[in-house]
This record gives sequence, C-alpha cells and structure tokens, in this order.
Amino acid sequence: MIKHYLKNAISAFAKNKFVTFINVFGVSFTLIVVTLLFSFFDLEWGTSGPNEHRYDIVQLSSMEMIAYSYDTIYHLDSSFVDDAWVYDTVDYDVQKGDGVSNSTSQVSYTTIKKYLSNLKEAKEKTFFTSNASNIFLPSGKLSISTNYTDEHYWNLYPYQILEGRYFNESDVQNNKPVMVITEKLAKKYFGKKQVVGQVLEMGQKKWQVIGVVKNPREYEFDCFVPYTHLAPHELNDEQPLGRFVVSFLTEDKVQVKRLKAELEALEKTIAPYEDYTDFFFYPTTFREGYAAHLLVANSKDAKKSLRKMRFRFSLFGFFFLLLPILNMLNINLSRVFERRSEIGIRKAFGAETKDIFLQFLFESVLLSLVAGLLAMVASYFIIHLVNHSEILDNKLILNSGIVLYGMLAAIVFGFLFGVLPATTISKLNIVKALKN
Amino acid sequence: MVELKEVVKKYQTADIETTALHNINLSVQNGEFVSIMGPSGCGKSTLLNVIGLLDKPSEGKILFNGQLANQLSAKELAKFRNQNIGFIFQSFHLINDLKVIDNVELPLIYRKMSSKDRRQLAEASLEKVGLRNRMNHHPSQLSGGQRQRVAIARAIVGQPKLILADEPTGNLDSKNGQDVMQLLIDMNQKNSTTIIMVTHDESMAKQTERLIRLYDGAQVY
Ligand SMILES: Nc1ncnc2c1ncn2[C@@H]1O[C@H](COP(=O)(O)OP(=O)(O)O)[C@@H](O)[C@H]1O
Ligand SMILES: [Mg+2]
Repeated sequence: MIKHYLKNAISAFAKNKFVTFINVFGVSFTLIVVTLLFSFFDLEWGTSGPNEHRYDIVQLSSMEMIAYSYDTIYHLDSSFVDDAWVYDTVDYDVQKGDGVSNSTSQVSYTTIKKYLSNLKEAKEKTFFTSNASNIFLPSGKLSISTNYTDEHYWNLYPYQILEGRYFNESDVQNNKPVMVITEKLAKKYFGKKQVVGQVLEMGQKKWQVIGVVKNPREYEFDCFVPYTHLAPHELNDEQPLGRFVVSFLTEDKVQVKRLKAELEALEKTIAPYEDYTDFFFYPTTFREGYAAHLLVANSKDAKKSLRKMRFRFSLFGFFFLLLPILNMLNINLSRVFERRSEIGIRKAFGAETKDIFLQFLFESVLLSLVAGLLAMVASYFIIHLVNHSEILDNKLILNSGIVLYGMLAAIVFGFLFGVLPATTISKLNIVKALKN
Repeated sequence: MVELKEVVKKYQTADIETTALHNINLSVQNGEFVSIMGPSGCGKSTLLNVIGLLDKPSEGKILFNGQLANQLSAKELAKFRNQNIGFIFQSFHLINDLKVIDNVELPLIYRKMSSKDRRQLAEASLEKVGLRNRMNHHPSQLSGGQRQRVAIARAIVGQPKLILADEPTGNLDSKNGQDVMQLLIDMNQKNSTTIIMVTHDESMAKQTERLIRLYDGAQVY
C-alpha cells in the first residue's frame, strides 16, 4: 500500500514539476528560517554547559535606594476675633515628600553578607563580579575578564571541567591564589591545554592554575578566582549598592515566587544609609531578564517586558508562518483537484474515504519531509557561513535536537498543508469526480 | 444477480429538477450479458451508476443476490464494489501517473493481499488482454484500443461477478471496438461473469443476449 502510494506520489510529483518545485521550495525556505531561529534560540536560550540551571536561577543584579525630602506641615487653628481671623499654631507634622535622590546599581558585598546570607527560599546562592585586566605575553598584551566569585558558583554555573578542579571553600576562605581558566586562555597564555599546576601572572600577582574549563558558546569570562582577592575596600564598603550580582538557585516556579516575596520582605529591613531610607531589590528570572534586555527596559519592569516579548514573538511567528501556510494550502488544494478523476477511479474500485485521505496526507507529508531534508542541508551550510563571519564567531550550531525539531516542524507543515486538501478531496462524490 | 425495484433517480440542480430515471424495474440473471441502448441523455449512465453503487437512487431498491444494497454505509459500499464489481468507462479512466501494471493492480490495493500476489494477478490479467509486454509503459504511451484493454484487465483482475461497461467501444474504431467486445464476450462465456454494457452501437448490442432500451429515463420493451 505504502509502496503503491509512494509510486503514485513520485510520478505525480514528477509530472507536475513546477508545482512540486514551488511546494518544496516554499516549505524548504520556511523551514530554513525556522531551523536558523531554533539554532539561534538554542544559543540564546539553551541550557548547555554553564547555562544548565538557567531557568532555575533568579538573579539579583539590580537594587534601588531612595532618599526623600521631608516637609514640615503646620496645623493652624483659627478664630474670628474683632473682625479679623486670628491664627494659632496648634501642632506640626513631618511628612514624607517626593523622592529626591535615587540610585540603582548592583549590590555590595556588605548587603550580601548582612541581608542575603540566610535566605530560606534558595537551594543555593552565589555572587560574583568581574574585573578587566591585562596580562602580558611574549606576543603582547592580552586583555582578559576575570570573575571573582565564591565556591558555590560552580554549582549554579556548571562549567565543564577539562582538567584539574574548581576552587573550593578552603581555597576561598584562605585566600589562596588559585585560578580556574578557560581552555581558550590556556591555549593563548601557555600555548597548550595541559596547564594545571602552572603559574599565570595577572595584576602583579602569581596565580596557580588549578583547573581548566571549556569555553561556553557565549563569551563571558576568561578566568575565575576567589572573591577574597578583591581589594579590601570593596569588601568592607558599608554602602548597600556595589557591583556584585547575586544568583539564587531555586527548586521550581513556586519557589521563585516565594524567593521574590522573601526578598521583598528583606528589603524593608535594610538599615538606612546616609539619607537613603527605602530600598528595593529587583530580582529577575532568566526569561524576564532576557526580555528586559531585548526591549531595553528596566529590570523593574521585567515581568511586563516578558509578556510584551512573548506577544511580539508570537505575532511575528504567526504572520511569518501564516503566509507560506496559506500559500501551500492553496497550491495543494489545486494540485489535488487536478486529480479528481483519479479519486473517482480509486473510489469506484473500492477505495474508502479514509484510503483517499491517507494517500493525499501521505503525499503532503512526504513532500514536506523532502523539503525538510533539503532545509536541513541548506541550514547546515548557512550556519557554517554565518559562523565564519565575525559577529557570531562559531556560536550557532545545528545539533541533533535542532534537526529533530526542524524535521518535526516539517511533519507538522505536511499535516497542516495536507489535512484540509486531503479531507476535501476524499469526500468527493464519485460520479462527479469521474465526469472529466 | 442484480435486481432493481421501482428505482427513481432525480437530479436537483439550482432551480430545476431532472428526473433521469423513472420507475425502473430490472432484473439481470447470473451470467447474463445485457446491453442497454438509448438516445443520448436518456439516463443510461445514470442507470449504470446506480447499479454499480456509485450513485444512490432517489427512490426504489437495489438488490444483489436478494440482498438489499441501499442501506449499506459508504465503507460497506466501497468494500462491496471492490469485491464484486468491475467498471469499464468510455474514456478509459486510467491513472496517467501510474504505470500500466500499477493501474491494473489498483482494485487489489484495497484488499488485504501481498504485493507479490497482487503483481502476479495483475500480470495474468494483462496477459488475458494481450498487453503483458506493455506493463511498464504509462497509459499515455498506448493507443486508445490498448488503453481500453488495460481498463478491462483492471476490471477483471479482482475476479468480480459483475462487470459494468459504459460505452466501452465509444471512443474506439470498429476494429479495436470489436477486439474489446470479443474480450467481454470471452469473459462472459469462460468465467460466466455477468456483464451489463451501455452502447450506442447496434452491432455490439446484437452480440449480447439481451437488449434493454431506455427512452427518457424509462424502460421501453
Ligand atoms: N450530476 C447531474 N446533475 C444534474 N443532471 C444530471 C446529472 N447527471 C446526469 N444528469 C441528467 O440526467 C439525464 C441522464 O443523463 P445520463 O445518464 O448521463 O444520460 P446518458 O448516459 O444516457 O447519455 C440527462 O438529462 C442529464 O442532463
Ligand atoms: Mg452516458
């Protein structure tokens, strides 16, 4: 049966080369775009390497503090004495006026230590900040980015370790000059990959390399050292605002909510600093942060941004897919109607409605699968080209997941384009179908 | 074999109602070769379609071997046609996208049968119409007479008890027409297949056992 359908489909496709071409080309083109989008989403939203817990992490990278002006308000009592009003001051109040000064930034080590060290609603917590520094090689100066963090960092951001180990609690507490470096830096600095035990000089300090990690697809840091190496004034500064990002690992969405509530309660307990009396934490999930970043919005409005972004993406996706779908549907309908007499013949000789439906659906899915395969091959080459351009620097990939999704999309397309024509055509009246 | 009782067929188009068949009573015995004649538009094709269960009558009963066929579901009708009836049309109605052999196999596709058996039966059927050597051709590569012979091979491949032929020689010259007629006569005589054939050609009709004349949707004796 399948073989018969296949034969029929192939020769029907071959006979109508132009329509088949338009069909395959149209579906292919759409699928190429879909595949490239998948690949891009995988890069931006994927959970490989250090991003494994991306969706379970709440980041606190924004905190606001506000100082208010105070107005003194006098309450007067008045009486009418000898044709004139007489005013007496009875009492006065000090009322909070408009905020006069507000400041938003990341948080300080003091805030972390004082207020964020005993959170109930986080499985795990880390904090980090980065410095840009120059290191010197025989070939010249190399500008690198160093991440100063604690030993919990690796549990939230599990970089793939290639050699050696991460730094641990004792390394951090004892302020050991140890460093975890990325593979790329290892190659640049030492010219090789086996570098554990070697010494790297940075900022007039000698660091012992204890581990090498794989570079993630998104560039962030070149090396990692215990935060205890930061200048003492950075750690002792009493200011609430600073330059640390705090990350919390949560169990699930429910805990995210509870964590946010806990942070909201905590912000009220922060002791006034100079004239600043009101403090606000703006924790964001990855999705919220991404949306805010994309829409250049404040992380204050992260939740709203996420909703806005979702809406825009869906709208874009809908229109982008609607046109080819309508087009393909139209082509498929007319293609199928040209084969009316075939349907009449098949039914006369015993085909059920179901048989005709399946046959035409099969053809549609087959066509889409062929288009899907072509799209995958084309996407492979396009991604290859894109990766060789400066901007994306080997970041896009066509992994098995993306290919799977692409082919799944192809099958869905096949059904979408196929179901309506197949339904319509399979219900055709035999006598009418056989009339020329 | 087939029995029609008070069959009426009306067509409703836009605003006019055409009665294509008026109160047809007809009985065809097993193994009979019956021809139907009548002027164009008198309802011959309609009658054949109703007998072949391709179209439902507006009124009346159709019985196959005493069994009422009217109330069968679409699915049951499809199965019944597949097992019992072979069709031959004036304009051949072959599927041009398929090779000759695949066209002949068509009725067997809708039966539970291995592709090997299907192939064997189709080849044997083509052998009977003398076109086995053309099985890998496409219908467009054949002459009209050859196409109709392929259509006959397709009609008989499933060994139906009844063959309905609507002007099978209508598009053929007399030589090819006679070849096709001979094949039908052989089928009728050797396999005692019941055949009902619509024709315009008196000489063809004369070669059959019984002639039914239709005029304006009604039987004329
Ligand atoms: N699908 C249809 N809709 C409306 N009228 C039809 C239809 N099919 C046939 N007719 C009418 O029914 C009558 C009989 O047609 P038909 O059976 O094809 O005649 P014949 O085969 O004898 O030439 C004609 O008047 C024709 O116009
Ligand atoms: Mg006719």
